[in-house]
Amino acid sequence: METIFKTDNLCKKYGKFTALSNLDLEIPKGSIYGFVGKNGAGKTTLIRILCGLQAPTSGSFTLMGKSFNDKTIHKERRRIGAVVETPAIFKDMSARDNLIQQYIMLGLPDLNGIDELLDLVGLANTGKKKARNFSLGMKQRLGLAMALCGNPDFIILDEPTNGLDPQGIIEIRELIIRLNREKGITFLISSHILDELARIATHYGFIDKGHIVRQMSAEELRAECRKSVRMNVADVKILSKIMEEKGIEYNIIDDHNAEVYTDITFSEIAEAFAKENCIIYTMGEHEESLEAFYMSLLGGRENA
Amino acid sequence: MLRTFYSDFRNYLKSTGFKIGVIVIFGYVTFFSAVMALLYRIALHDIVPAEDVLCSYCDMAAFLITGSTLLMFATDYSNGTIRNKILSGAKRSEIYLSAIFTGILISLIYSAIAIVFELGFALVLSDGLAILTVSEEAGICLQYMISSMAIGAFSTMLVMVLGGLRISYFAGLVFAFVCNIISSEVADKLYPQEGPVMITGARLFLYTAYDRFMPYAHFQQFQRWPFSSYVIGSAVMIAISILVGLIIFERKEIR
Repeated sequence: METIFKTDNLCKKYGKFTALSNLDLEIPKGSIYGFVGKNGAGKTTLIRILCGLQAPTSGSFTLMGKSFNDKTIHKERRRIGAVVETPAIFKDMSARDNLIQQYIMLGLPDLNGIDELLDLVGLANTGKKKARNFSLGMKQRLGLAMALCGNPDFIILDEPTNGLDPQGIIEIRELIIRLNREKGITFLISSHILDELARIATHYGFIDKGHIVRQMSAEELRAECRKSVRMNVADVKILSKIMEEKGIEYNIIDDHNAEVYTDITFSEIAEAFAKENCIIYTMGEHEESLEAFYMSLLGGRENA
Repeated sequence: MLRTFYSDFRNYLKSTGFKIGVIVIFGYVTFFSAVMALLYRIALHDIVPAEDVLCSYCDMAAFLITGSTLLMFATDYSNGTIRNKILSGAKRSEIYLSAIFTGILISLIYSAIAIVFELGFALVLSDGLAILTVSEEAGICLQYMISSMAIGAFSTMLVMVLGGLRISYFAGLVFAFVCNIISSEVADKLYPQEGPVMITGARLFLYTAYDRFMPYAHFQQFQRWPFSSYVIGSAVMIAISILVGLIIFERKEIR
């Protein structure tokens, strides 16, 4: 598997505080890497190191095959687009001027493609309106357009849907998927909206207290977040007895609720419960969400 | 480095800060020239000499340049656009040098604009130069420009090194203010209104060196030292700003 970014025992300390601790992470080329972790887990610190804003305290990383201490690594960063924390835009300029500014910085030979980019992020009609007067969503779109300047191979997005309306979230999601599929752009997306992330990510990295708790592909996650049938019954003891008899895996949630991990036939189960004189109040298919998986991975709700 | 420099300069020309700077210069020069003309008319029943109008920028130059360069590059940090520069593939040294040269160019432009405004008012309000020759006055204008460039470089160094923190505004403006006070003290002691110079020894040496080489002390109505002294003083300040800043900025953690 070709990786676009790989860390090896990466550490970052701010005085006595350890932001990253022996972090090992691999972002496969062409993936949409969902970077999940609570506030202060170390997501932004890693992104800052990746972008060259900060240096690691120890450990190493490679970016597009170049080692972090390679003197020419800054050239590889030209192939990266990023929106870190807040969109980095020139507030006294229009959307178009912002993109011209970015084109100049990247040393692009002409300004072709700016109109296309503005159109792509839905800012084609903003005219001379200064970015200072943009809504948060518009700033976010402009930040994304700036990250897309120069056809980057790797885009880093920190909370890309922050401030966007539902329509905007859908558009950005579709744009990310399109860019990934059509242009093969690799994405590193840090987001708190896990269900949104679950719709697009092909790989995941779960970070907690500065180290990677788990890395997995979307397929592996799907396998772990298996489907179940959630049953609400009068007495879970009877449910337990029936499931044991039938050899079905289950999990008791409380006195009346349980998860049953199999494709069961309602009539068959209903008959078994009727024989035991136990009422089934509700019964429905349930799929564990990314959020629930994340919670269980980090050891429960106190970590959320 | 040229593309980063061009983008920095373009950014500044398009910024509200630049327009405000030009308005402040125009407002101050207008106010100063009008007050001088009125004072001469009322108190001395005379026309203001061009020299007095042409020095109106002196008092505010250090503060204006410090404030505007600090504002521009602090905004680069607060907007996060410094990150774009790093991600554009530029080396840190290129980003820093580009900022310094932009700071120098901005200071030069402000000085040139101020001199143009002053010349305009001098033409309208005065009958011409009373004491100095045209070449002497041109030399003083050039001296302002060179000193402005050095102050621009120094204040840009401060903000780049301090990462746009509020302390950079404080440090820059306080430094300019303290230098202004020291310049007055030095002028009082080296050029007393009455009597001989009373300071001697190391103090005299230090005061003389400050007066001769410190760019913050070079905004004077008359040239006191050979032109080369002003150039050397400004060149040293620019060189220090570049070297010290480069060493720190190369290792700086950017948020």
